[in-house]
Amino acid sequence: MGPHHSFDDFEQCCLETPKNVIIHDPAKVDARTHFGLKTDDDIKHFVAQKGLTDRAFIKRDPFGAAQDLRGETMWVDVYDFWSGDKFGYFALVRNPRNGAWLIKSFTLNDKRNPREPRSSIGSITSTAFLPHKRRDKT
Amino acid sequence: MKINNCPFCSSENVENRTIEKPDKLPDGTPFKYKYEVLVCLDCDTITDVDKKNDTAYLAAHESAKKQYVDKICQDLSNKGWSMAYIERAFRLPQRTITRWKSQGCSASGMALMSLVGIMPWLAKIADHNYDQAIAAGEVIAQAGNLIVGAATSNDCTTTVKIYSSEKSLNIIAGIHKNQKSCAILSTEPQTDNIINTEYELLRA
Repeated sequence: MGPHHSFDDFEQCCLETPKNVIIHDPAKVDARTHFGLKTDDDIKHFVAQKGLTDRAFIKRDPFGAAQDLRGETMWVDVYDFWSGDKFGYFALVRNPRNGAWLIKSFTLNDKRNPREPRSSIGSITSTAFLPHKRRDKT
Repeated sequence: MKINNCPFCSSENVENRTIEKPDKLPDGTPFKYKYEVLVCLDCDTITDVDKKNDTAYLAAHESAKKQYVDKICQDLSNKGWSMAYIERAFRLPQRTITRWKSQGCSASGMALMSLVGIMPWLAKIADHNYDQAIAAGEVIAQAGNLIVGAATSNDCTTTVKIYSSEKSLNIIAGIHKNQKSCAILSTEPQTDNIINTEYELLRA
């Protein structure tokens, strides 16, 4: 199953009617902490400027709270994305009744970054670079 | 303006709560900010309806920034870098940094000070009108300092590997701290037809 919502529409909304985009407060704090996006406006502007680079749809989940509330199904679309060398996790849901969008998650991804380079500062994983013949001075 | 509905699901089953969050500047300087949110008890959405989070965060951040810039300036002075030199090298108007310390600085000023704080030698490159050869030389010199510094430190291990083949010469330098590699020069070479010579820098 593909995404339930059009991401292009969401980006358009961030650009043209940002008031209709609501940001879940924990998502905002995560975006601030991990991506340096300090305010609501910063986050919406970033999304509108296609800052979620190489976004890849991962899954859609039912928005449980809405189902409990009205017996109707709302879907949360979940994406992986990159911004520079940071690997992120983004989730959004739209309320069809009033057209409001909700950014539910905007944080670092729990999954290992598949693009993690083998040879760059701070991210060497190859055992070839680990010290293997430690010789102490005698 | 008092908002009594959840902006996402329009429910009236909402309540106001006060949240206090800790945060820190790039150097670890801590600060806190407190703000009010609207919690929807139906859809669990927590929203910053009047941008109170943003306002509280920006005010706390602004105040912490002054201390941060002040601390960077002190560190630079202790290492022998004068603010007059930094200002001249980056072609900033005189007393700019003093003003940043007392009145706060813009995001651009903060970015510059953060970079200069951890790499003060950037001033040398700026002072030479961002000459590429000077920049390359400075980067290599600083990389050398890092490797030698790590080799002589008690909590780092430095490994330098030199791979040579008929086609290429690759120098790989890795600094390892707590089993984590934290710096490297060059890239992993091709493994065919390589004459492998390895050197390990010993502690001084």
